[in-house]
Amino acid sequence: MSRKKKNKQRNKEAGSFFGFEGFEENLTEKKVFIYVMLAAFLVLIAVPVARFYLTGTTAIPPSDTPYYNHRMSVYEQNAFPEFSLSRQDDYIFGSRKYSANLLNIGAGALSFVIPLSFIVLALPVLFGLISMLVFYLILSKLEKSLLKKLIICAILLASPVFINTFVIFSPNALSVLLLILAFFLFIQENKLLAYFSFLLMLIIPSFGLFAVIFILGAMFCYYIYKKEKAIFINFLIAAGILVLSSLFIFLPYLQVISNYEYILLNPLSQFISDLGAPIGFGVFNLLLMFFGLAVLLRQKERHNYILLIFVVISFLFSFYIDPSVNIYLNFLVSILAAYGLLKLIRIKWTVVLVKRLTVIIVVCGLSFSCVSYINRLSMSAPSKDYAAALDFLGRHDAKNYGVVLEGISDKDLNRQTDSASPVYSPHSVVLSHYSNSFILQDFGFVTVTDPLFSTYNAKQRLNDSDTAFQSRKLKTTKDLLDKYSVRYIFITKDMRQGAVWWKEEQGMLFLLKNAPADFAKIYSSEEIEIWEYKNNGV
Amino acid sequence: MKKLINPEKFRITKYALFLLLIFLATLSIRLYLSFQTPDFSSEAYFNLREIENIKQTGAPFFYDSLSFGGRPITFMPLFHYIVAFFALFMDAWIAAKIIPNIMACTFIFIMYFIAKHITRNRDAAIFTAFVSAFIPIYFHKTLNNISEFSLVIPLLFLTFYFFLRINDDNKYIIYFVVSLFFLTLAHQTVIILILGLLIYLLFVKLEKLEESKVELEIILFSIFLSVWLTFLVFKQALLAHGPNVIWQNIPPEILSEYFKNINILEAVYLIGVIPFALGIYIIYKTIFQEKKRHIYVLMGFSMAVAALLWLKLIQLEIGLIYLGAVLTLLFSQYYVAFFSVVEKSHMSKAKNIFVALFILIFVLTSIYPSVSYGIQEIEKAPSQKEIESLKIITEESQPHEIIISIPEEGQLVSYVSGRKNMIDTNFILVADARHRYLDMNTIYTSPYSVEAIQLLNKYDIKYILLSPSSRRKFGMNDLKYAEKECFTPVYSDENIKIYKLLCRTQEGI
Repeated sequence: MSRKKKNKQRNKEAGSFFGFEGFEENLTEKKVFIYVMLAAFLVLIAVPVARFYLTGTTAIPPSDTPYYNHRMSVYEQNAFPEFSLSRQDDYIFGSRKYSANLLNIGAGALSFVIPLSFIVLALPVLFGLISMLVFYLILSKLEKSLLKKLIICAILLASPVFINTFVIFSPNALSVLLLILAFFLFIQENKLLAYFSFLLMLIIPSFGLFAVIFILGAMFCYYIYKKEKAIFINFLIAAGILVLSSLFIFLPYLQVISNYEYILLNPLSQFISDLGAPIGFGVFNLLLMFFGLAVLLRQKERHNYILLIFVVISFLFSFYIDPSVNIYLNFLVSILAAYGLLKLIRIKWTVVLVKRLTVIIVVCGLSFSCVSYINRLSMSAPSKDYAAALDFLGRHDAKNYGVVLEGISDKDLNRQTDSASPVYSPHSVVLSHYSNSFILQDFGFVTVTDPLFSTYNAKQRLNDSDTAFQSRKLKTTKDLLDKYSVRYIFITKDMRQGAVWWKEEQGMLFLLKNAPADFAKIYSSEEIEIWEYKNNGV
Repeated sequence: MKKLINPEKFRITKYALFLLLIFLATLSIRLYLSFQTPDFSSEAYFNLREIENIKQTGAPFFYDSLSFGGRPITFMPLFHYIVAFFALFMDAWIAAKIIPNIMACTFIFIMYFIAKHITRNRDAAIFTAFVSAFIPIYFHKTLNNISEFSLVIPLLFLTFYFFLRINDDNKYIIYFVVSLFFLTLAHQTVIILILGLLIYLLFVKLEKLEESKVELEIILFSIFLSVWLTFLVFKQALLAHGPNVIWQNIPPEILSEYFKNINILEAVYLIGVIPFALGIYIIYKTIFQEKKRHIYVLMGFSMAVAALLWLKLIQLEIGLIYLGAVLTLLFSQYYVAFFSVVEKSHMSKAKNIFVALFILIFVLTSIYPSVSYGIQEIEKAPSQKEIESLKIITEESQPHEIIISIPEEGQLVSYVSGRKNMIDTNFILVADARHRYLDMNTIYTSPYSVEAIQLLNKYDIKYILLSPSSRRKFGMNDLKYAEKECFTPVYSDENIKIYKLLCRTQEGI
């Protein structure tokens, strides 16, 4: 029986679903491909477009990560062509060592021909489109059902993790792209392409241990699925390259990352997007994934049990150690969720109305999760007001403390960008919530803390910051400000609304208001307040 | 002639009459107790404000300008809409007295139908309905509180009933879907039902019972519907508090008052001795001896509630209401088993004596505590003097001025005076809930006027309410700093004092 006839028969048995059967029968490879790529384009440009309408410019990307990577790319641009894994980052108080990543090196080099502001905006989207293309090609090789491919891609595209990965300028986008590209080349029958995959295996370890584990897991599952000797040999070669490369790349890398105490944020709110996780799964993605996994396990095949173990370990790792591994896991979750959704559609239900309602709720849940995340990301800091405040601070600092600011044009009030990059000599120290630090650093200021907790003595610094923010004793606060040579205090609306303070005159807010000899408000807008600490002895 | 009288029909009429009598008797007792005071328990006033708002504008408010000085709120509004609908034909407060009590009493019919379905015995069903009318914790929690549980509990068990019958007829699937939809719109505790059904599925697997496809489909649908609606309505709260939303952002200092450790003796008293002891016995019997599908459904639900209580993921009182209702249903099973043994034994002629004995024990251990709790609940309602004193604040104060009271009286203060409160019991979406709670404690207990004034200034509080409840809570007669020149009493009698703040401090650093 032909595939179309089989589908028709199966759908007839399962009961009508809003003309869905006709839709499936009319699908062609070309149509599916166009739908997927078009949807990918629309999803990926949704956030930049929404940001443009909110801020009036494309130069202020959402979230703090792009600012860190922008700064590092500028650093690499200035250092080009010198290449070193271990560099000095002076934008955290006391400085630290950091290891360069491929994205920053590449973007730094590319910025000689393309403006860095455009790279920050366009590169993740481009990586996203290429990743989707490669992923689609992988699916085409492994999966014959057009509908299944379409649903997998749709769930992937609507997932908050995918949107975050390919909208935010960070190494995640490149890492995912290289990983699936390597896997795509690995599964090709052409030997030459397989060798290309080995080349990519050389650089994959630079994105972290989990990237290595994930590609190894994917290749091993492929071998279990195919059970061919040639694939096993290729797997062994790839594994050897990955291990050697890891040792080569990680050993110096491990020397750079010191063993400061690991700070774990609330795991659940870092894992589920609907609970506020920046790189988290939607609840419906997870529910469908569990359902899909249950469906697969019912088939009682060995590779499905291996998959289960892999999923459980990965989830535990993501939950308790590092939620950023969700960028890889998302592909697996989307595939399993698609299996779940398809099963929901295809099984024969006792009451067709309940089936229809269930599928409608699931589709609404997935869509709302996507729309809500796009909305959240578009509205996230920094705003135009935020950037204007930092620009003011840059000028104020340059004027009063004589730091030369190259690269900030009078016309561009928003931020320093592009080939006319500033000479990044550290300015004054600014105290703020750690979530603002990457942005402050990108605007040329030194911060006391930042979100890279494992690269400095974060626990001590966070405690000191907290004491300085909460204390109403002028001496205590001043001692701490002097300890870190703080010159400015940068206060956002979020900090006033629960991130640091809960009440009007809580802790430092009281001191700022009542100690005019020590603090002067130099900037105030709806969202931002900047205070200058006068007696810092810097 | 004799054939014209259908004995079966007569039986139905007899049971229906019994049921109606139980309903009317329970409703009469409830309304009698409830109308002993024109007021409500303190925590009822938020719901009353919402009901009045819906009556006037057709929509609930999701920004409460009076609570915590103004804050967003999130809740499921079905209950408020229903009471507001009836409030169109009478005063809102009368509707709020009568309608929740009627809703709470419909529970009797639902319990009758469930018990009848699982026991196939009308006597047991009638007795179960009677017992369910007087589960002490349910009785007093839904008596004078304008509580959404008046609607939620009957609706939840109605949904439960439809679930038990979905294998009988497809129409019950539709009924289940509709009732689940309304239940989800009524309260977030629908999640407990879902957990219960999942545990039931586990029992089916473990006990190797025949799997029902329709049950699986319905459970799947229920999971998706309840998760979706809950996330949709509580999105803001989930983003603000993350997983801590389960504990409703209640300050840690009073969290243990809400999410208490379960005490067996207290549980027995609040649920009733008969349903508790005999319900547990039936669970034991089902686990080790009999395999009855519908008992597993009830067991699944009771285990979900027990687990949540044990892990302190649900408020004790709410958990006990659910547990009490399920154990009452399980008791019906015992009733059948017991009288079946009695009838087969040489004591069959003494059946009526046993029934009388059951009723006597039930009256002593369920009806008496219910009415006693009910009277206590009525006594806890604010006195007329308290209401009058708050009305004086309305005359004395400006609309923007803030009044401090203990959290339990916050909503009462806002409702009667129309002024902002500093704190009440709905902590969700309040960023500084804990600090406010601690500051409230300090304001009431501090011996220093400077400290108190600083805190009062911080929240722009103008009036301090010292009610009998706040005196009891802090174990004091008066504010220690009240004699100072900065505070003037605007109302004072032997029980209630209201102070107005006259000073502001210039704080040093």
